[in-house]
Amino acid sequence: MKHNYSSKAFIAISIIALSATSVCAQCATFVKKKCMPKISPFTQNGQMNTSTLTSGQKTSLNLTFYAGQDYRILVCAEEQLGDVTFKILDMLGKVVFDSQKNDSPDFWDFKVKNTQQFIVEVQVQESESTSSVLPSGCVSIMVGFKKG
Amino acid sequence: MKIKKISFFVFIAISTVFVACSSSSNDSASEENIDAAAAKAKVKDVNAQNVFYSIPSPVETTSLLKAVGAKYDPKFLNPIENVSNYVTLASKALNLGVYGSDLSFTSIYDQTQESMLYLRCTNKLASALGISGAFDETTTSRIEANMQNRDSLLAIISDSYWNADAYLKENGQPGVSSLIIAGGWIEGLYIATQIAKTTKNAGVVSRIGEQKMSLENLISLLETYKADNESIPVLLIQLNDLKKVFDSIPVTATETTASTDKEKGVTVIGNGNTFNLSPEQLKQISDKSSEIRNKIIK
Repeated sequence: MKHNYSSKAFIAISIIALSATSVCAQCATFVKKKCMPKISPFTQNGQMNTSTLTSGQKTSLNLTFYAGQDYRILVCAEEQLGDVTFKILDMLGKVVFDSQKNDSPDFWDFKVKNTQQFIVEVQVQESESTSSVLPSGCVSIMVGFKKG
Repeated sequence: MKIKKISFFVFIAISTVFVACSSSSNDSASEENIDAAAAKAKVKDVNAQNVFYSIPSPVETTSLLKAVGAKYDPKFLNPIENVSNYVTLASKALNLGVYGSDLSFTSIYDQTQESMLYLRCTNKLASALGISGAFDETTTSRIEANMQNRDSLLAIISDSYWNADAYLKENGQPGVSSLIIAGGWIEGLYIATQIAKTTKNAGVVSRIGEQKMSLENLISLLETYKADNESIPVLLIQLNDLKKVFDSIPVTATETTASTDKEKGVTVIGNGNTFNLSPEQLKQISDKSSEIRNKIIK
């Protein structure tokens, strides 16, 4: 019985490991199809910041924003993850923007008077489901800029 | 019992996929006795390391230079003849970043002829790195068709950068991608310092001082992947030397303020950081960035 259980685990892990690359590729495809169009009319900054997250997890992005430009921060997540919120913090830890307190948009447009470093913190909300299966999906943080 | 087994398999599935896809995860869990609660906690531990460091793209950097009145000068660019000198993986990646930055520079200043030449250099290096879907024939066709539309041109170049980054991350080569990003950033800084040296443009000098924060992000990005390629630790030593100069720049930090224009839906963030770069510090940054850049392009 124990031997049977180990074999099943081995087979499951092998199949999943082989398909992991394909899941990563699916994330890039998801970002291209569902997120890229939402960054317009801004120009995206050329870097893919994508994670596969589950319920309750966080990810963050550190980036400098320059005076004289307009910016859009777009947080894009696969539907099965449910509510995904984000906060923008300055280097002193002050919350500059909290999506939860602003009707939960998936993007925020802003400009800075002086060049600033911000941290974008993204949180997948805890699932209310009683199921032991945690929903998992791609989360992308995109940054777009345009002349201010 | 059956449910516990299913939970275990699901947890292993999530952990495996997460480790394979995330930028910096290096943990895993495969103990048979992990229950659902422990599984959740473990996944969160892995996630705690999941931090991205992003650097402004060369398209953004060169746009900023143009906005403050910097003039185009082709002598600041890496000569196209050098493209055949790059034989190692690291030199190809770094110089793909360098030529990408030069391509952004020529495109922003409407230098059609030069843009096509630099596009060929990026094409050659991307192809040598096995990158598919970026700086390729399709990109060339799109650029040729949009030569007279600068905004479209810049969007196409940004798309190519994104495609290269995505391709390399998908194919387990994020370290190579970080070298492309580093090459692009260093070339942008080199061009800015050369412009500042020859024109004394105050706007350009100010932009150079502001690179302090991007340099810190670049170092953190490269630290994440320093085991991926032997050139990364070498580059990190040079960048940390450059950081010492940037660290000597006095920074005035004030608490940020936010005001929103509800009609336009745009928030303006006030206060923040100001950088006071002295002529001596500018010279040191200029010398150090030239030294690093010249080692890359030789």
